[in-house]
Amino acid sequence: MRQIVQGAAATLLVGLSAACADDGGQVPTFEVDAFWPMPLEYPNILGPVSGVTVAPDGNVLIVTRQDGFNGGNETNSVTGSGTCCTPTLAVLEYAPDGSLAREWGGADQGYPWPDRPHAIAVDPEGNIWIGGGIATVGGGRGGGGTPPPPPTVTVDSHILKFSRDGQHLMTIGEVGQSTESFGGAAGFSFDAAENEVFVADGYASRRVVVLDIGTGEVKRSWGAYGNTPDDADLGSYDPTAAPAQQFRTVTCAELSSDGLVYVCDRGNNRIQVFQTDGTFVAETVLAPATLGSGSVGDIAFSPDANQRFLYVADGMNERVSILDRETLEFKTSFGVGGRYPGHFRELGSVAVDAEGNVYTSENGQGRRIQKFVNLGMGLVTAEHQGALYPGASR
Amino acid sequence: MRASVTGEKMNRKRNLIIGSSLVVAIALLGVGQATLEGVALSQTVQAPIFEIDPYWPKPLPNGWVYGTVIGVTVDAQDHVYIVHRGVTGAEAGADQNPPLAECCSSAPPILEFDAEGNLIRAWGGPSETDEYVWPSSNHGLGVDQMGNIWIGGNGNGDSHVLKFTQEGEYLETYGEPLQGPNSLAMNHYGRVADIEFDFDANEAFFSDGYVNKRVAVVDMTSGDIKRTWGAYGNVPDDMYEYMGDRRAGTGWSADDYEEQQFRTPVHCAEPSNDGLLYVCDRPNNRVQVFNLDGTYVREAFYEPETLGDGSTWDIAFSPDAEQSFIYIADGKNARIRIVNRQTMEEVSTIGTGGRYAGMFQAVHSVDTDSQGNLYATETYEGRRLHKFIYKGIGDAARHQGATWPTGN
Repeated sequence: MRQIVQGAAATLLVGLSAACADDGGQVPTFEVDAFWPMPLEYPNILGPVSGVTVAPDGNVLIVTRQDGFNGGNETNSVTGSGTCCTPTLAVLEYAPDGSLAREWGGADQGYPWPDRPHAIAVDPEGNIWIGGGIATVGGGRGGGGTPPPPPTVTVDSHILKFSRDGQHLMTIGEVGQSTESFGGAAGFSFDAAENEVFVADGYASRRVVVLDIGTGEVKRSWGAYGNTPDDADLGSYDPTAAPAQQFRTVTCAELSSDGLVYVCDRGNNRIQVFQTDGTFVAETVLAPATLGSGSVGDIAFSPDANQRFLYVADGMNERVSILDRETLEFKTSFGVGGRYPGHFRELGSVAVDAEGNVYTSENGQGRRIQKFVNLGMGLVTAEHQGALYPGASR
Repeated sequence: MRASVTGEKMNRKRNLIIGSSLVVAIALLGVGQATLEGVALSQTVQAPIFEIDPYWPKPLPNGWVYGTVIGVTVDAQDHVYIVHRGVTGAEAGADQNPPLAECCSSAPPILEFDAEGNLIRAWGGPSETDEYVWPSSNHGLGVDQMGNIWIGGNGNGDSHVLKFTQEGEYLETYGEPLQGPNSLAMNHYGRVADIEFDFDANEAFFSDGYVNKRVAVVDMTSGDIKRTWGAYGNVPDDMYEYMGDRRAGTGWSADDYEEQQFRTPVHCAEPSNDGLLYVCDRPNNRVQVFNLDGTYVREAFYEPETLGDGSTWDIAFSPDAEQSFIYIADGKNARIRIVNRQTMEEVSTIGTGGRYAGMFQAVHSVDTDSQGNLYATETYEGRRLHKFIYKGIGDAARHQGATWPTGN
C-alpha cells in the first residue's frame, strides 16, 4: 500500500496522536451479515444504491436510482413480460433489525427529483437531504451506417429537503441549470451549532460549499487546498503529475466531532482535511495509481468520542479502507470485488451506526446495502482482509 | 397428455376453487370458522425445503471475478463445475493496460469447486496454437463419466462442442465450427446450449440450440449424430411459421397453442433415470417430455404468458431413486420452480428477485448433487453460483423466497 501524507499540518496531527491510548495497533474488526436487510416482498427489487446514511435513532436510509434496469429485462412485472421484478420507490428506510420502515420518493411525485439521485443525509432537525449527479440520458447504438444519436448529459443542479416521512420541504438551487447553482451535490454533513450544512459539490463543480441549513443560502465555498474553485479542465488524472490544485470530483464533505471537514476528492484519489472556514489542514492519497473514477468515494467516522478511525469507500479497488483519523495512516481494508456477501461491485457510500457497525452501498450493478457487524478491536495482520465471511482469518 | 400448470394468476384461480370447495366441505362437516382460518393460513405444501448458503463457494483468489455464469454441472464426486463468460472493461480494471485499479481480474472461464466450495481448478479460453475454436460465446457444459468436460456455445460460429480433460487438456471437437443454422445438418450444430449424458447408452444429448430447433443425440465415442427431433417429436423445421404472435400486447399465452416446433433457444435436454428426456423449450414456456428415442410423451407449461427470454431455462432432478422432483430455473421470473415429476405440477418455488443471497438476477442453470443440494447460476447481471442446502421434504411454503435460515 503506497500512501503519501503531505503538508506540515499533517505532521502536527501525527504529533497529537501520541495523546491516544496505546492499544498495540488494534483496529475495529468486522464480519459481513449476509442476512441484513430482510428480503423485500416478491417481486420488488432495489435499483442502484447511490447513498446510505444512519439516522440518530439508528435507522438506516438509502437512496436508489430507478434507471438502468438492463433495458427493462429486470423489470418484467412492470413491462408485462413476466412476473418479476418491480423497482422500489427511491428512498428506503430500514429499522436496525433490517425490516423496511419507510419507502418513498422518486420521479413524478410533485417535486423535481434528480435525474441521478446521489447522497442521502439526515440533518440535526431530522430532515432528509438528497443530492444528485450527472446523468447520461438517451443515445443509442446507431446502425446501418447511421451514427448513434448523441446522449444528453444532464447535471443535477439542485438539492432536495424532505421531512423524515417524505414530505417535500424545500428545493435549494435552480433546477436544470449549469453549475451556476450546484453541480451534482454528492454528499452532506451538518454543523448543528452553526446551523450549517457542508455540501460536496460535486460531480461537475469542484468545491465544498457551506449553506445555512434553514434558508439554503450559500455562506462560503472553497476548492482544493482552500483555493478559489476553478472549473477549467484538469485533463486526465496522472499519478506521476504534481498534485492538482483543484478538486477533480468532490463526493463527500464530512464534518468530524472536533470541527474538521474531510473531503473526498475522488478523481484525485485523495482526502483533504480543512477547518470549517476552509483553511487547508492535511491530505492523504489512497491507492494513487487508481484511474477511472478514483479511490476515495465516501467517508464515515468510527462512533467513539474521538472518532479514531475513518472508513473510506473505494469503488475502483472495491474495498473499504480503514485509516487512523489523526495520522491519516492506512491500517487495513476489507471487501473485494464481486457479487457475493462482503464483496463489492461499484461500492459508493459508507456509513456507521452508534455500535460501530459499518453499512456500505453499491451503485451500478451491485445494488445492495450491506451490513458489516463490528466485532470489537483486534489485531489485523492482513493489509487487505478480503470478504469478511464469519470466521474468516484476518 | 397436456398439463397447463401454474402462473401467479392461475394459482390464485386454483386456490379460490380449492377455497370454495373447502367451504362446502367444512359446512357439511359442521366445522367452525376457526378451523377454516387455520386451513387458509397454513399455506404450506409437502415439498423439498432449501436454505441458501451465502458463504459458498469460498471467495475466488487473485482478485478474480465471475462474468455471466451460463452453465453448471455436478460430477459423481459432487464437484461443481461452471462456465462463465468473464468480464471486460472497467469491471476488469486490473486487466486493463495500464491497470485502472487493483480490482478486478476476469477469472478463467471454467471453474471447478469441491463440495466445500474450494476452487480446485480454473482453466479454459481460446487455443494459443489454433488447436481448437473456443466458442465466441461460452454456453453450457457437461461432465462425462471419465471426468471430461464438454462445452457448448451460443455465439456466432458456435456450431460445435468442445471436449477437454478435467485438467483442461483439449481432446476433441464435435461438429464443424463456424457453420450457420441448419436443424437438419448431420455434421454440425447450431449453438448448443447444454450437454447431458446417458452413460449406459454411451449417448450425449445436445440442446441444439440457439439457432437450431432440435434435440441432437450424439454417440459419445465417435461424436456422430445418431438421431434428432423437434417439438412433439416432429422433424425439425427451420422454416416453421409459429401460430402464436408472441409479442407484448397481443394477449399471447404459450398454452393457447400447440406449436409444432421448438422456439429457439432449445435450452436443456435432460435424461431422467427412467428413460425420459426433459426438454426446455424456453420461449414457448414449456417442458416437453420424450422417450429417449424421441417419441413424444407429454408437455407442461409454466408461467405461460412470459415473454422475452421465456420461463423454462434449465432442469435438474432431485437425487432420490424416483427423481421425484424436477427443479426448473426461470430466469425471467426470478424463481426456481419445484415441480412434481409425476404430475408436472409446480408445488413450490425458491428464490426471488434481487442481488442478495438466495435472490436472482436471471437465474440460468441448475444442477443437484448426491445430497440433494441445489446449485444455481445467474447470467446477465447476477453473475454468481449459488448453493441451496437441501433440508429434506417437509412443510414448505408455497413460495420459499430467498430461503434464508429461519431466525433471520
